[in-house]
Amino acid sequence: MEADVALTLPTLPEQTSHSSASMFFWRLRHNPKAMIGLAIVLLLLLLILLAPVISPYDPNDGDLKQSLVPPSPAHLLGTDKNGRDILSRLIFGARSAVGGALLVVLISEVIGVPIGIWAAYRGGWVDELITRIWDMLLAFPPLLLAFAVVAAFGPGLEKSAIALGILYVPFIARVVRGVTLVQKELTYTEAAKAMGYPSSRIVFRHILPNCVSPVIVVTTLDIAYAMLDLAALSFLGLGVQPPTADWGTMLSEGQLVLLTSPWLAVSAGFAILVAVLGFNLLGDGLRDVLDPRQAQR
Amino acid sequence: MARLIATRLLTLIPMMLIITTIVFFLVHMIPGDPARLMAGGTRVSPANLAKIRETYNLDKPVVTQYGLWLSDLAKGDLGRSFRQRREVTDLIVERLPVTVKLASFSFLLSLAIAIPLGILAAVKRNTWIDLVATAFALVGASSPVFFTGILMILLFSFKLQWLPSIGPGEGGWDTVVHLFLPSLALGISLAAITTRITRSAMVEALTQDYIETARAKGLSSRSVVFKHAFRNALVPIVTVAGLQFGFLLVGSVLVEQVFGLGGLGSLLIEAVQVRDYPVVQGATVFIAALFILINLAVDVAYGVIDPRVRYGGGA
Repeated sequence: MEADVALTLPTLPEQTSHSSASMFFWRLRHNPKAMIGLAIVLLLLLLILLAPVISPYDPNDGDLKQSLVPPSPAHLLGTDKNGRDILSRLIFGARSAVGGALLVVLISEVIGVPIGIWAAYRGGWVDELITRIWDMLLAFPPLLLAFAVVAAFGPGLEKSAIALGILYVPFIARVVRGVTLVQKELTYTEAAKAMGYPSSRIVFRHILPNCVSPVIVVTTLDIAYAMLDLAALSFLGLGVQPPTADWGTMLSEGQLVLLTSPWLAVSAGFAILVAVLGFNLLGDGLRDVLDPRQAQR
Repeated sequence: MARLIATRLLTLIPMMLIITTIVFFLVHMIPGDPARLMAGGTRVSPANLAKIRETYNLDKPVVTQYGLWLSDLAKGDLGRSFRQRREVTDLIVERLPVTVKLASFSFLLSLAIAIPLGILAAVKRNTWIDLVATAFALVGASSPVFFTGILMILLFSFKLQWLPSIGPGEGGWDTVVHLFLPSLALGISLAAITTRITRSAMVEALTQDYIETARAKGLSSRSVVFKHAFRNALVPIVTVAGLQFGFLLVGSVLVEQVFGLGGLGSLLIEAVQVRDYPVVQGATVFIAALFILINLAVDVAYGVIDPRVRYGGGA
């Protein structure tokens, strides 16, 4: 077993005076999962930023005479039933996929991080009550409650993202609470309290910085989950609404012409798969890097 | 064991209360007049609107409506669909069998894939088998279940023409044939996570001292892996597999759409699309109750597998 671990773990650099940041980047560079994931995520970000420049056609510009044209040099991934270029729609679709998922995670963090810290720092019945409530919410898939939200407020990316963002709160709050519980028992926190520092200073100066690593890992993995959930809502016609370019909606449209024009559904499906895989790989890799004990498993 | 079940049953009450409260108030936050929506148009006489409000208790304060809804719920009355003009309970009972069959087949298929693959990956750690299992777990967890379903249709129905792609079948063997592809699509998504957990739990178990002792006693490799390591790895596997069974109900919503199965998931989505609130409310609460019961079953399963839980010594 020792030999196995030695084989799988990269050898540490000789210098021992590395700062923790350079050690982090060194580990990151030597983690294949993290690097592949990072490459996919960076590619996605490039697509989002450069969409108007690199996209061969306007994503909403249709030509019914060009309806469901198979892949060709003029349209590398073919066209949809409205004659719109699928490649261009895929490139622009990255915006709603990643943007929506980022909104979900941002909302969950803005609410979840303070709740997690507050629950752990206050302790007692506050902690007990909050933990019980989110334990119950964690037992249910967010998508189920998102259906009820869409039923009430109607479909749309923003509404879906807000609903999912609220339903993702327990995922992040639970992690932050765990870190805070450990930090508040450490000697330096006790010392800061004994010196009369206010709670806000202890939380912002000491506890919050220690939450950063686990929050980064959870954020990356939550983006992957959120992309899947948002794509599912769009696929069901409850998320992004046509004519906006969106991978889930394209997959749903592609299903209707699957027998004659499979390229539409397949290209949209692969776009979702690769993007989610990228965030999953990056999240897994970051967890290995930030918690090397996991890497030995 | 009876005490364990009784304690867990008691915790169901607050859980159901929270979920029903969330669902009820969400649905009652609908912008606009629900009575007008129920009437299906804008040209409705005030007398008719008043009658609808009275029938559905919409003329009472929201808290009273909630109390009445809860009391009906306790009696098993989930209300009446205002689109289909039928009892929600009847609609659920009608659609449930397909979903239960789909979820059960998928669950069994996922275990049949994940457990052997996870064990093999752990035993052959750091070999190409482990790499394949890890890649399967990563890709399976990253592929949306509806896309996996579409790929299955393209390959097995259109290209190879081995299996049907639409409908739940007409009973018996026909149902098994029709549900195979949807179950495989859902089962693969599920197996991805269970494979990972099985591998991780088996790696942990195989590195324990008692395994070395068993090997030193000259036990066969098969006996060490299955009788000693696997039995101890079962608790995390049952936890994840049990939770996954609950999530199958939501996965089945998506798979039912792809394969046109018309189960409970389709009922819920159709209701969301036409804003048939009593059905959305009833189906969501029903699925939530199923979730809770499945979690209870998982807890009881711990008791069977792990004596420390059974006798109150562990979690």
